[in-house]
Amino acid sequence: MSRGPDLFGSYSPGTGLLHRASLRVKGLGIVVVTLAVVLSPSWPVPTALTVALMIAGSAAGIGVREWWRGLAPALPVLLLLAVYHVLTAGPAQAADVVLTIVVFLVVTRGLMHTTPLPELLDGVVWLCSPVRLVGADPERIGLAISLMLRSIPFIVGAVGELRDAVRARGLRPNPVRLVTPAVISTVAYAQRTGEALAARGFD
Amino acid sequence: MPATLGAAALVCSRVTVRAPTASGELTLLRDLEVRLDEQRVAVVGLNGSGKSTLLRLFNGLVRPSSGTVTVHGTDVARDVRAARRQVGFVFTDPLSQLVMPTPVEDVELSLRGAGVPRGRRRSAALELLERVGIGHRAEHSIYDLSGGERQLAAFAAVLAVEPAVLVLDEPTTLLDLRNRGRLMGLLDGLPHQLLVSTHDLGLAATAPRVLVLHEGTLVADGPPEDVLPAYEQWCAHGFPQEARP
Repeated sequence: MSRGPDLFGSYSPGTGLLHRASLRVKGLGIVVVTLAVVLSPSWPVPTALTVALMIAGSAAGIGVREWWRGLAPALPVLLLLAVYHVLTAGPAQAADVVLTIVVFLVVTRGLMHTTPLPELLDGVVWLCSPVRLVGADPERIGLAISLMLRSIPFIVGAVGELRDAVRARGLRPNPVRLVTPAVISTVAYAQRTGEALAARGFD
Repeated sequence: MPATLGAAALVCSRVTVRAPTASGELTLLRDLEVRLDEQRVAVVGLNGSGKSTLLRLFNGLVRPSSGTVTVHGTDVARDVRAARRQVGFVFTDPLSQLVMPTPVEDVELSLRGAGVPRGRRRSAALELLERVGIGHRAEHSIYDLSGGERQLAAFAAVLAVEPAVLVLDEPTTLLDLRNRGRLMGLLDGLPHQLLVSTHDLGLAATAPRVLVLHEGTLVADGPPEDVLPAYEQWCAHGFPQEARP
């Protein structure tokens, strides 16, 4: 199974400022970025944030190719959104919407690149600890989020392999042909993952 | 060190496993009666013979339709968590087993589940990966590892929780000769009780006891020098209904 598109990236060891920053500092930074984007009236703020965050990410070792690998899979959706908003609300609104999404893709990649997943898991568990009050288990929530991060590229990669398999048989890989096998392989993947977790005592 | 073996036996008492299919009910294992005390036991058989079903019983991944399964005295149906603490399970395809992006993170997940304090997890995980020979690949994506390295990473994740028993479902199927040699070397150095299903007769021959399953029935049980030649004959000329070499 191939890796699939690398939408969020993964941890890469380093010694830069972002790598050394604690998860709490990064979390605070994300809150500030979110507030700035949400409260900003128009596109210059997300543009400035995107540039600033990409500079910070590049200093932490995220190269041009890696940025591209993260943003390229989102381009078709961003393009569709841009066209829709240009037609319905004008270019400024379209730029605001698209750049807001780009900011969060960039933030996510920066966070994933500089933070080991177990540390993120600890952070999510800490954030979710109030759910204990209603009888839920924050460890499970943290694990579910980790699995989601691991599963998205796997599933997208599986769809890519199905597309290749259809092409190899001389057929045109239209979405209708791919839906059923994609659903089956996703369900099978979920079952295997569940079984593996159960075997390891995470049930 | 793994948990002590104690009354080291994996036991199936009159175990039958059935599964519903589109065309009716399929019997995966039929009235199986076996007690495994040896340090290493191999299970061979054709595809669909029931090998994986047998192995999965000991980890509670499959529940018997009738009969009981015990692991070192623990009834798996009654206390599956306790059974899983004692039995580490290695799947054929390590990608099914590795649920985190890198080997070190996956081993850390096991250590987290085992209650190892946060501050000690990473160093313990790296140490374990070093021990199985892939310390230099600890922080690579699991997608960038070779099949053999993935298998060793999955193996390290299982060893991390120090089970008394290791159950390996066709561990050499996806490996090239070099990685097969590495894995076998690793298995030779382990103090754990091992239960291995395999099509690799070289691996089966390293166990003092070999079981042959055919269509859900135990058709042979004994030392490899007796059982394996008979198994090869049956593969070529057909299986008897009840064979004892």
